[in-house]
Amino acid sequence: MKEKNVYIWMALIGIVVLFNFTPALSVRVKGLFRDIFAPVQGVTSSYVGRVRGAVGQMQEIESYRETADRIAEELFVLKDRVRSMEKVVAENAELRRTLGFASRSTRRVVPCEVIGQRDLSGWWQTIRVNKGSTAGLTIDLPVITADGLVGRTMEVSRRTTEILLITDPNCRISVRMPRVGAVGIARGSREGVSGRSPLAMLHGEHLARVEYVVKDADIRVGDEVVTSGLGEMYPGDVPVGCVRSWALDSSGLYQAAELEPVVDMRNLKYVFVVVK
Amino acid sequence: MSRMMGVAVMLLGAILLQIAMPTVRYLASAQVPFLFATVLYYALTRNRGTMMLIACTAGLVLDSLSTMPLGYTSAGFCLVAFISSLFRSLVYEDSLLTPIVFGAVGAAAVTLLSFALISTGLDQQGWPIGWVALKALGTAMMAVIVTPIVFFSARRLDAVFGGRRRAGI
Repeated sequence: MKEKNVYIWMALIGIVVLFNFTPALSVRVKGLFRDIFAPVQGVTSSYVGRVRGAVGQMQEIESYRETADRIAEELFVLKDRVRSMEKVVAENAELRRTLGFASRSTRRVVPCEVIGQRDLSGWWQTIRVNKGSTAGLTIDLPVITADGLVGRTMEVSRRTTEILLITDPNCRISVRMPRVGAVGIARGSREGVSGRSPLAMLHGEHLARVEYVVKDADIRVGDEVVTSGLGEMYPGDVPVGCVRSWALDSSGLYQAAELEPVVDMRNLKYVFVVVK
Repeated sequence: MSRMMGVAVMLLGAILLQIAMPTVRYLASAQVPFLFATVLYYALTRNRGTMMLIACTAGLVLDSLSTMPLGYTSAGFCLVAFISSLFRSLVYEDSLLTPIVFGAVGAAAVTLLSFALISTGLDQQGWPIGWVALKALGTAMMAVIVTPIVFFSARRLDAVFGGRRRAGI
């Protein structure tokens, strides 16, 4: 009986010790396990991805014709847009040269492969990538794809990094809406703002919301939302998402908009961490 | 020694499965509780020392591989494993009903306990109660499926690596 009690006390003391680890020590302990299991996670993630892809392709076969028509239409629109953008790009390059602005390509990015699509506990919206401190990554660096903003680095071990997605309520970003010129704070959301999609996350949707937008801003569905560049963490003008709906917040002083991220967080394979 | 080898193999297998199939998105990211089911099996079939060691280790690994602060899952696993072990003389661990009932109730309890602990974090945003309830229910549903399979596998492993001891001996 005494022996049993000793084990229980040892377990209790062990848990109390774990609870009181300093953040640095906690990250080191976590990093040790993550580094050990990173290769396994990479392999399983790749196989799970292939199975998902195969299932997805089977489901999509029926809608291929419809998709082809839609793509043709989109191609026409995009070609037209590219033609008009070429002029803007040339004009922009000329302006940059004139004003001496640094080219945006001076950002150093580290390409990373996603080895963990979901947080194992399911409480946070995170992904894990296969690069860590040895590749020069540190915490609080912005993470992007070719489409837009993904999130920021949160916990870094030697060979892996945990990335907090913009769809997690703990990730807050200063954003602006270029069309209306309004600024706000974007953060992940588990609930819609207009009551149309309560508990949207139950359906597997990854949403965010923009809060503290001035009351008289003329927000419309489809409005683009980009990073404001305010603060040191995120570079400016990185696409974040599009407005899906909006409403006055509970205080009645500001508007809140439901945001559909431009990046599909469910199918991330490669991301870029902006180091500089 | 070989018995502990069996435990190590079982834990490693559960960790790998947990990595491969962590959560179900459509059930409020409910966890597929492979590791909890493993802890539960050893809570019902091993002495309390081994049980606590396994619960702490499993929780530590799960916390390390997830965003959860260290110790939270260990605390949940140890508490639920300890409570389960109090009932082990009253149940047949070979019965199918045992892993189903203990798995479902225990997995939901661990989820709610984790919620209670992470809610104390000052800088954490709140989770809607409906979402948490569905997550607990989803984890319980997953446990109903997973726990009997884990129990079956663990029994086979015990047969290979040598003698399962009756709890408390």
